[in-house]
Amino acid sequence: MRVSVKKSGGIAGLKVRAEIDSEQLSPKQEREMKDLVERADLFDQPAKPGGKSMPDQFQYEVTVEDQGKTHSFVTNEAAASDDLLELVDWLIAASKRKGS
Amino acid sequence: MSRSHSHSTDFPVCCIIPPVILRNLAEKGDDTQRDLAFHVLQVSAHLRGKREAIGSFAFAAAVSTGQKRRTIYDAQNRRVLPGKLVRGEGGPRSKDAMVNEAYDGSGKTYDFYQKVFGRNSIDDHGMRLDSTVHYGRRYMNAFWDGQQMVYGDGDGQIFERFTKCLDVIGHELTHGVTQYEADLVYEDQPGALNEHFSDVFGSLVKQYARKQKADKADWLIGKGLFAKGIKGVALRSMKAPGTAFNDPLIGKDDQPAHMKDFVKTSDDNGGVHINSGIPNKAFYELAIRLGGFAWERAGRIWYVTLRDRLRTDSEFQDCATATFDVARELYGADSVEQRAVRDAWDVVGIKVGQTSARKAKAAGVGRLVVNATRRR
Ligand SMILES: [Zn+2]
Repeated sequence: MRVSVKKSGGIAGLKVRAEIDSEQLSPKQEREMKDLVERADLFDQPAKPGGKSMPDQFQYEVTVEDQGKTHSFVTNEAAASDDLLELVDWLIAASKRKGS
Repeated sequence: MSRSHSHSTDFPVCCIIPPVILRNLAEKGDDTQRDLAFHVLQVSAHLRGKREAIGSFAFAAAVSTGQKRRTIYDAQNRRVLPGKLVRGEGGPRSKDAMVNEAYDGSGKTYDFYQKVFGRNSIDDHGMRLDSTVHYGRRYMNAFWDGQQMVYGDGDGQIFERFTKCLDVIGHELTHGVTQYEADLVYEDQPGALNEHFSDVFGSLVKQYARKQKADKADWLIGKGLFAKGIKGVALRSMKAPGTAFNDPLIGKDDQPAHMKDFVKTSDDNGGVHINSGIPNKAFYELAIRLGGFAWERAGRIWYVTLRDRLRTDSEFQDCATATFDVARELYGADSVEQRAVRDAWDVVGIKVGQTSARKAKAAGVGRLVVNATRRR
């Protein structure tokens, strides 16, 4: 399973990207990731957020690939569930660990 | 949505005090009583899922006109708004720097709008200024959620706490003002204008508090927000967009300063924090041309434009044309001010004046004129 996320916006307007392939993770981290992905219902997310964006909130562009299926969507802080936000934070942290 | 204003019920008092007494307290009590009564009304309204109805009553009841009313909440590092009430209007200083900064900063922003433009708070009807600090864990952001200001702690590696800069507080509060006025949709050019007005008045709040003239101001947004070690002076520079930071960890400031460098992107709601560099630069150019205190003439032209002339879908050209018209109405045709407005927009590649006005009218932008009579 591969999940990529691009976080943009916020008052600073900075961009942060993360892409994690579960096969490159330790078994413990892989379980963590799969658990987070499942809770965040990635494949069921609508392509665009329902509500409008509020000023300075983050925007997220997410792509998930698993067993030949791919789904991409855009969401924002107002629309995203806590589980989805947790996954995004986890992916960015994992990507930083990978980079350093 | 689940996160927003989903109160935990840590105020059992809401079920004990009859609403009529609360309303009396909200209307007639002293500051502390009014704060508490207001809060409880708000909480109970949440519980009943009727925030809008009761909320607007509570706002109207608890607020007397021309008075500053601030409330600071602590989210205690969770993502729940508004959080725990920690300081009301006139309440004692906190040991927590963020609480005091949010309190003082929103007060200075209120004073700026009130004294310079005669505006009574965000909605011009005495709306309470609600701020939540310590939102989320190491949260690197500040935002306006449609009802209140929200500030994160930063991670200490890239960002310091987001209440640190007065212009950032002025920026967030101005998002509220914009919402009640032009209500610029937060996307593409209208979104970049929304950002632009927040930067303009955020910077002017800081300049006003420091009694700084245009040529002495730094024209930076969020100076001191970056943690030590990050190569950057601020989030943005209105004087020189694109030069505020350049660091391996966070990248480079990519704001354009001219229409020829306008960035087309789907990130950041269509680059709202990027393309705002263009009108930001125009405002800076105007302020420098006019000299003196930037809030006096440049700020007034921009304020009237935001309040009376722009629509939700206004773009850069609409804004430029409107500022040109407002400058004529306030200071006269071909006045120093009106010519400076034209020259300032010209620096960033946007033409205003006779020719462009005719062109704009042909393109349907002439509706602006009709609109002017609709508002105030
Ligand atoms: Zn903003």
